[in-house]
Amino acid sequence: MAKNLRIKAARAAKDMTQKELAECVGVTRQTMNAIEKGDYNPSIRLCIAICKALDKTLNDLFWEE
Amino acid sequence: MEQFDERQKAIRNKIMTKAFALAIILLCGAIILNECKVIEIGKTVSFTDYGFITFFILILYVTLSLIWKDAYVGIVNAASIKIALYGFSVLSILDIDLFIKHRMEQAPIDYVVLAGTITMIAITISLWLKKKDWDN
Repeated sequence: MAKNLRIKAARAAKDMTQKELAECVGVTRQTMNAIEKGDYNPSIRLCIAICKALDKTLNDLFWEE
Repeated sequence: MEQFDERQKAIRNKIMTKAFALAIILLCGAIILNECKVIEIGKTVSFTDYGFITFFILILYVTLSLIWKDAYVGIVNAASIKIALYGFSVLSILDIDLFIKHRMEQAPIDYVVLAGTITMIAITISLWLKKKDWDN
């Protein structure tokens, strides 16, 4: 699975660390790291939580052309 | 937050399933080795010893997998894992000390003790290497 650089960029734009975003969506920092690295495919529930925390849509962060 | 998040739960489920399969393989392996007369369970190794060695292999597999895939309790409960780390460290040192003493007395190698010592040392080293994850 490819790296998800869009989450990383959106997180950086909001000046959030992985740990802060992880706490915001209720997962561990390691899980957030795995999602950004493309090692873990999150559930739709977690995707929505990440989108809400970063003020983005599912298309912005997760849609692959 | 729940104790484990969705990724950790998925990993834990997968590891437990694999451990169950490994237990069956080890037990079938014992039957095959016994039938092929490679080891004679009951003579070369007792049933209890083989059971304990199987148990230690499973503990080792499950614990190391959980630690290295960040799905162990240390990620969510730093206090309890710190106690476990120091406890395991002390037990490892005692185990090594006892093993060396036995070897110096030229006592025969006890495979159960050896398996226990290896398990303890491997878990301790893994926890020390992962310490930075729950230190901050």
